Amino acid sequence: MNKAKIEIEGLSVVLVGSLNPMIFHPKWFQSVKLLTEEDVKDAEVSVITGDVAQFVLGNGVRIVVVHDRMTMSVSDMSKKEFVYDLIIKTLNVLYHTPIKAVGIHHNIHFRVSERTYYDKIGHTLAPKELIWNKVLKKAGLERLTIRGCDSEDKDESVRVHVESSAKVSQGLFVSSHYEKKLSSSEEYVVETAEKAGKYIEGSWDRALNKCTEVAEMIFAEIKP
Amino acid sequence: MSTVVDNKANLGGITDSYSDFENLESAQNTKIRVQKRIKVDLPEEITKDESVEYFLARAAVRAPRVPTSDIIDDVSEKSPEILEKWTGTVTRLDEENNLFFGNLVRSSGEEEQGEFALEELSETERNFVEEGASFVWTLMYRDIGGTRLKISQFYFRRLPPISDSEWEKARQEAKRIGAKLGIQ
Repeated sequence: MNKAKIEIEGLSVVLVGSLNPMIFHPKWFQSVKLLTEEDVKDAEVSVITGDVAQFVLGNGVRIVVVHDRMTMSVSDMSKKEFVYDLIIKTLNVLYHTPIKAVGIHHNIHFRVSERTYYDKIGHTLAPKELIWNKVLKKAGLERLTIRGCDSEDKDESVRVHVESSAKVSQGLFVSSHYEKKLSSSEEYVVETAEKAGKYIEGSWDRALNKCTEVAEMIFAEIKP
Repeated sequence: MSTVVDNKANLGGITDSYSDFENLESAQNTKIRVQKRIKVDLPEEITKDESVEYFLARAAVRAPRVPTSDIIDDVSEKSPEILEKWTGTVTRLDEENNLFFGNLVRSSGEEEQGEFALEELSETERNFVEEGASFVWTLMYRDIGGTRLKISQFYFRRLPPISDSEWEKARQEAKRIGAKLGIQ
């Protein structure tokens, strides 16, 4: 993919449910053997209160917990197995925790080699001639969102965004968002932590391949 | 204005990386510099206000030349560049010679065998080395300032052991498939 180069790539996993931020301290993860001493020794704790827990492990994995969600994220894809293992093990330990939904998010910032090519991508994905140039001057695509399915599961939704990067100049930002609803708020929640784990196990690879697939398709189909 | 906003250019629209406001900002900066340098050369008949307009107009024309991309990018977040990644299983541990052996599968699917020194592992990772253990070996570049580091990283998987119910499910599934194939 020499027309574009990956500059920043990251992933995050989000659990939506009922959580107690107070317990989520690196030492707690160590005490229940989810992390080793080495994993937690360089952890930087920003805040741990009854309302929010936020810290970054020495390897760059960021964990944020508020009452209704937990997010684990990293911008180093060599750590994706670490994140996977940690989230699966956490769900194993917190098997009684009600989880309403799971999200697996992946994003890549590409630096596009040529400005003209960068513009061409925008014009091809959202042609301006039919409408936009007639109603706006200098119309440009800022963000495109496509929603669809990637399985037969009606409780899973997939969104893909293509937009201009806010971090890399002349950059294309592609992100994919896999979301799985496990229960509605009215339902009595049971075994949802286990279901969340199963969903992550079953969808991890396809959720983390979609961004690359979309980007490869864009760079292959839209010629410089 | 933050760097984040400065960098954001629409896809296929505005022909440079600046909004009108950003042009003005650049223009104002340029004006100050230019005025300081050639103030003495201004013809006497040009008033102070006219000179501001003159320099603003000149600077606005020049604005797109102001360096952008590589200077204002926040490179601190740059991700490592992964060169190759293998998933592996330890086949033998030779503690006498401080070695371990493994079957490896490259990201392309190609299978290989590897022999590694235990010294290549951190103290923590060494505790996980045993026959059958799964690991990931990643080769990557990481840029720190002007230095490029080539990193070999081993990560031994820390997945929870298979539970009794999972074993039971697997047994049932094996039975079901066996029955279909006529195998007991």
